Amino acid sequence: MTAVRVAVETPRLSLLNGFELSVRDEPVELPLSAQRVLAFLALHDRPLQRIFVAGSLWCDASESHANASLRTALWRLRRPGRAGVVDATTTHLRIGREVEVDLHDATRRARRLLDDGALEPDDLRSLVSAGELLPDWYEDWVLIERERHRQLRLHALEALCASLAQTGRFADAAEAGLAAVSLEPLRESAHRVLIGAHLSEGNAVEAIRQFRFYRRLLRDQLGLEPSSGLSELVGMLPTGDV
Amino acid sequence: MERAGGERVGVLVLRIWIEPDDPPGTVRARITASRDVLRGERESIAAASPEQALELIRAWIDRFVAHQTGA
Repeated sequence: MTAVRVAVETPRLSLLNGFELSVRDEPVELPLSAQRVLAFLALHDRPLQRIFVAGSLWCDASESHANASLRTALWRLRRPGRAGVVDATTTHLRIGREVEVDLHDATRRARRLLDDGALEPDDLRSLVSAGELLPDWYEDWVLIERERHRQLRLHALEALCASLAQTGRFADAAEAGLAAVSLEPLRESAHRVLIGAHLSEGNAVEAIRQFRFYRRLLRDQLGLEPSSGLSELVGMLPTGDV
Repeated sequence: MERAGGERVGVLVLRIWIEPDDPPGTVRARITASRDVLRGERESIAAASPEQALELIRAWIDRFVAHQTGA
């Protein structure tokens, strides 16, 4: 019996690790102007005045030119097969309510982990692989949102590392902790949760190895020392001098 | 990034935070920058004080301008 693959009807918009719109599981090619409109609406996720969208995206152009550019981009987004990608009224625009946006999913996941620590099966894979928001885009409105997402992901990875260690999933905890460390190697809390996960597993050698790595990084790059709390935590281990 | 008229665009992002147990006056700063965003090349440097961060930013701007003028 041949399996029948059913295409997902819901449009999907990926903004993490790069831009991609897919409809019925097929990637949709869009010119950059239409990509910018879609990304801008997805980042705001609420109705926006057309004049605000045009002025933000074409800020160097005259008002009439900016409005014309927006109309052209919207026309490209309304072509057959792209219905529902943008909800438009005569005055306002918003991302289509049916569109699944990976950034929105990642944000909800991170908030849940930070608010109540409840774990779901896909948390580790999703957060570790989430990546940067539109990494090759450098416009101001993207830069701020990229940093917001980065900070949220960093905190969520630390929370995830701690929760996984508490439930005895030490390998997964280490993976989450290492992902947090790689996002910002000079951040102590990321090293602390990773060292804590190693200690919860009874793995003193790995805990000390991680501590030494962090201490060397701090000395080399900033001329600083780890906090006394972290040093004492590792210094109490039976392996002795760290 | 080269635009019409030969405009070149660089981007510098400064992330700065304070660790609770660091000595007073210490900050941790991560500067991620691209002197040519079209090429996508990025550099990343760290600083431990406001003065050091400002010095690195000044040096980055100087290099950006020197590249523009061919100095």
